[in-house]
Amino acid sequence: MVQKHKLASSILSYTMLVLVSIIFIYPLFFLLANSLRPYISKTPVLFFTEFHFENYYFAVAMIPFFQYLMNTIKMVLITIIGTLTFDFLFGYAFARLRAPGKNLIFKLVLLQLMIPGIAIQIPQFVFYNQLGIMNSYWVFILNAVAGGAYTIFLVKQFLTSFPLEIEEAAKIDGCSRVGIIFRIFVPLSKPLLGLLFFNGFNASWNDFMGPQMYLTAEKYPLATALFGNVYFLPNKPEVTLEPLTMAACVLFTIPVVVVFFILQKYLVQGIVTTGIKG
Amino acid sequence: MQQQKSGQRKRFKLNERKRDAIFFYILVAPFVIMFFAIKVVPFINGLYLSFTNYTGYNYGRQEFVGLRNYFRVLVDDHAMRALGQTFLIGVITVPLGLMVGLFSAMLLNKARRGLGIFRTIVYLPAIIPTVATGLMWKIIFNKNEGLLNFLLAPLGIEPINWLGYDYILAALIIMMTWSSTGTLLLNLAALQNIPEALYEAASIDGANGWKKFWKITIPMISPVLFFNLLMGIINGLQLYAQPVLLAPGTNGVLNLPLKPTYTYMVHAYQQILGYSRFGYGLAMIWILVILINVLTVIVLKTQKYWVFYGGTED
Repeated sequence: MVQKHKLASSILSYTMLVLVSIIFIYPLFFLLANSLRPYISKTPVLFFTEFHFENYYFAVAMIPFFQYLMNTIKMVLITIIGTLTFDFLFGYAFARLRAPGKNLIFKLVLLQLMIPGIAIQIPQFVFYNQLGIMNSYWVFILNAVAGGAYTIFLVKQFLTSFPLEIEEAAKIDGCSRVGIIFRIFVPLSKPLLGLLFFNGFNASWNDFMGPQMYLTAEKYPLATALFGNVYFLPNKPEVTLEPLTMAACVLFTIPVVVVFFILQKYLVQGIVTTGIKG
Repeated sequence: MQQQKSGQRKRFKLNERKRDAIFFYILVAPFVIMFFAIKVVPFINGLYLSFTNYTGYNYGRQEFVGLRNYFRVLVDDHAMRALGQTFLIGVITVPLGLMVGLFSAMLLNKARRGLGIFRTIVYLPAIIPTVATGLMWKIIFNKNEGLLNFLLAPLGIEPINWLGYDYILAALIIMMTWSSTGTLLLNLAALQNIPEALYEAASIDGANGWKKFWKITIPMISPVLFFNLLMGIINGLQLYAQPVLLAPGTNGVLNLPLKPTYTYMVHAYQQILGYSRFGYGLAMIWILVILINVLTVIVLKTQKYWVFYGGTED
């Protein structure tokens, strides 16, 4: 009787799970299927009917897609190198080193955590605008060096959990301070670094506002370029070509999904181990 | 001899401490320098400019106007209506997002087999880039060639103009709810931390599923729910990208959403990026920042009534 009840409830919950999954996945499936329908067609298809891969060629050829892609890669590299070096070292210093005034300096991190993003982002834009620093990657590099409050906090939380004896043992073995970081804590932090990589990659791959503010069109990354982009017939601007927009969306989304699949396990681990507890 | 040795060790230890401290200062120096150079300075500068009529060109005629910008925001019909719409959208999408995140996490928590694949599928919408999500849903909502009307047609429903004045709010809510599964992993981790013994004890006491949900599940994961609620409110008030992505026009970031989805931040970005009304735009930003902080404090105050921090809190 109990067994039967359990089976029924398990079937019910799996059915719901499948339904929910379909709701979440179908729009993406629709995107993929319709990126392959004839580019001039105006009727949506529910499943794969035809495979017009030339849509992808047109989507890439009708706009300077690869130039935008290169710009995106530059932004991603700046962000990821910044987060993996500066955020990690800042978090490490706050978690593992002792110095007078440390708590006071850490308050600067907490202060930034409490201020909404726009309170920094927009005054920064106005300030750089006044200084005339425009169309340069320096703005992004400086921001990477400054570190992100949330990420520093995450690193600190993660590294605090290791026992203090680690450093003592390493010092007795004659390991230098820099050596302790790279030989002991970097290998221990693999899931954390995976999480930082994922967050940094996602944030910079998606960022359309920063480049819109600081860069001109030829330096736009894909996110900014695609934001307002409409594909149309070259000789008839009133005829829009949705399948090409969808193809561009698919190309733009694939790297994010691939990185997600590769780093998924670190993402789950990272959330369990760094555990934000209210 | 003994004394000398211990004195040496003490000096050595002090030295070590000093070196530790110096190492710390070297490591955090970039953080502190950058904090003041590119955060505090622009912040104070921005605060000052919000009391002037600065527009980027009028250096010669720039004057101190006191609180005039702030008063103008409060009587600006567009800004206030936009603020109202922002609240309306937040009041609908934030609880909806929390429920979707919790509901799907609970379903996943029951799945013994295939957890990985289902988790990936449900989490996927949250990682799709905002721009791609917007472009995709704009096509799905299209009146004549969109998916939604195509699915509704067999039911005898006339094509709905989802992106028009009457339905744009519904469209925005649908899109935002679809991509609101970002809280899933955190919820799932919290649910998996609840000791099974609590449910077993409740079953013995004769509690049904509904009661277990309200008396065990909700209190046990309330810290995570609270965190998600706070983030939802803070992000909700800064809502900007999604309405613009569903807006008509070809101006990209400066596209004007229709009135029902014209949010406060859209108006602020219009002032700053579109019209270079920096003084006025900054005043708008500071008013929103104050509002966010006030709401945060209020929500933090409600914590003691419904957020349960169990014995595992460290």
